[in-house]
This record gives sequence, structure tokens and C-alpha cells, in this order.
Amino acid sequence: MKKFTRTETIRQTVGLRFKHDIVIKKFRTEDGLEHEFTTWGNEGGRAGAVLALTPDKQVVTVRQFRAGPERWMYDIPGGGFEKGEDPEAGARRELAEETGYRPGSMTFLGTSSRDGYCNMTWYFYLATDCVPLEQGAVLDAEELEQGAETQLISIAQLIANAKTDKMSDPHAVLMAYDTLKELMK
Amino acid sequence: MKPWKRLPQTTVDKISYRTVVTKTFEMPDGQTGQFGTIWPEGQVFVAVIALTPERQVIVARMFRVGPEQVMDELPGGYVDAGETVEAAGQRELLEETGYRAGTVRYLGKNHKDAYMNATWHFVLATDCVYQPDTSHQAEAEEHIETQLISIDQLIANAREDRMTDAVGVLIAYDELRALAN
Repeated sequence: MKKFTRTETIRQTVGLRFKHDIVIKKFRTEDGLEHEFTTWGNEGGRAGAVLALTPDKQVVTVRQFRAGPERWMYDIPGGGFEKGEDPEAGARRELAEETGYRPGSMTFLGTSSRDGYCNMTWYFYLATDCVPLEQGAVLDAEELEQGAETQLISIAQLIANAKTDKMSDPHAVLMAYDTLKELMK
Repeated sequence: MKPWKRLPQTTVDKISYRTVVTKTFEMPDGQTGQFGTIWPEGQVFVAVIALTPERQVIVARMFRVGPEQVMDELPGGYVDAGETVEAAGQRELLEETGYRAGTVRYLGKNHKDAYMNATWHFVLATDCVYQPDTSHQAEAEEHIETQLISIDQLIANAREDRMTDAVGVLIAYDELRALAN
């Protein structure tokens, strides 16, 4: 396998209100050839999402209109972490803010790079015994504008959604698949 | 639940190889929202879970410039205009790895991210045999190493961030588990 050494980086931000970071990376391989790739997402950027179950095994999802597919999707709660934020604390915060639920216990499932050209890392957690907090969800401007709404669905429905393109980020379902199947019994 | 109303204002920015499409919608609260999305609208990709008669999985080992790691990816690429997803999967498999598919079956699709316009389709190819022809590109060989791994290893890779097309493994999960036994 050829070794790629980074030689140059150009960063640009595109978009008006919901911005995208585009990072042009230039590499050199041992054979002296130059390669240019255009990647997306902040380098070192981290985000996370929580597969959250209530005590009666309902899944806490957020129904949102998504600008890529231009459809309503049933995503699991999550979002970007703050700088230096502990991933589990970030995931817990996103769950509380987006849905108003607090987990009983949290288990780390794994990370995903999502796309070969994406610079960010997503952290996934399984949360059980999730109960609603008194103050409810505290949505940010983007979530409010997108009409985000908390919905409880069955585990069977979650798995079906993950396999049929009704979720924009189904990695947590793959990571927790065997546990979810056990819980359905 | 109705989709939002798409307004005609659309901006397309091209930065090096990347296309960013800024879409404008009328949102439920009556306000106008502009969202930056990536890939040209209508872009279609295919990725192939390809098995040999011995149920080994054919993967394309390559350096991924986002995570900057060597990953074992599913063979795949662009679906050409007028080409079926299944035919594109067969073609990409042959070009990238030199393997020819016995049978090809459609699995499902995904968008990878909420802000992506491209659709990734997944197909399952069985009875794949190494039979390269001239379309097996020398250029691909320079950057891509074909590897055979077990189904269990594929599932582990998908769960442990050693491939980026992990959703295909999720869609085919029950079938792959059955084939591994």
C-alpha cells in the first residue's frame, strides 16, 4: 500500500446559514506523484448520537425534514460536540437538548467515519432506561426550523427504518444489532 | 407529513472536485431556510457486497483521505446514466477487483448523511470469480489492493470503523449471518 504524505491543506466554508466546511488536501506518494482530494467536515470535528430506549423498550427518535434527501427522517438524537467536550457527556447533552430524555445507563457502541471523504468522527452510544426530564426538549435554532419532533417507535420499526433509508445515520443500529434483537424477544 | 416547499433559488459552488448545492426551502414556520448540501443532485452510487463461492468477501483496500486511514471498502462507484444499479455494480466490481459476479441482487439504499444529495445503492453479488479483462484498470491497481476477508471480519470492520459503506452490511446483516454459518 502506497504511503500518502500530506503536503498542503486549503480550507473553505460554503453556504449561507447552514455552512459546510470543505477541506482540500494535497498528498504526495513515494513515487513522487501529487494527489488532490476535496474532503468535507472540520478536521478533528466530532459528533455523536444516542440510540435511546425507554424502560418499556421504545426508541426515542427525532423526526426531522432533511435537506439532502428532501424527506422527513426518523433519526436518533445527536449532534456536534463542543470543543474539548467528553464524547459521552456530549451525547448525553444532545439527547437531553433534542428530546428532553435522560438516560439510566449509557454504553459506548463505537465510532464511524461515515464517508471516505469526511474528516469528522461520529461516536455512538446505547442508552437504556431513558426517562423524560421535566423541562422537556431545548431545541436549537436549526432543529426548531427543521420542525424537529420527538417520536417513540418500536425496536422493530427502528431496524426497518435503518434498512430502508428512513434514517440518515443508521450506524448505531448496526453496532447494537444483536442487543436490539435480544431485547425484542 | 408533507415535504417542505423547495424554492427556486439554488446556488451551486464547485470547489476543486467537490460540489456544494445551497437549497432554499419554505419551512413549516413560514420562514425561508437555506441549506448547504453536498454532491450534485441526483448523483447515484453503487457498492457491492461480493462473495466468492467459498463465501469470502472481496474488498478493496485503499487509503481514505477523510479519516486518513487504510480501509477495506466495498467495491463500487458511479452508476452511469441509463445503467441499472445491478449492471453498474457488476462493472465496478470487475474494474476495481477483476472479479466477475455470478448473480447480483438488490439490497437497498441510503444517503450516508442528512446533507448529502447522492444516493448509495447496495447490491449483493454471489459466486464471484477472478476473471479480469482489459477493463480491470492498471490505475485502480496502483491505489487499490483486492483482499479476501471472512463475512465475520466484514461485519466487525463495519462496526469498528474500518470501512465507510457500513450501511450495506446493516441492510444485508441477517443474510450475511446466515451465510457465515
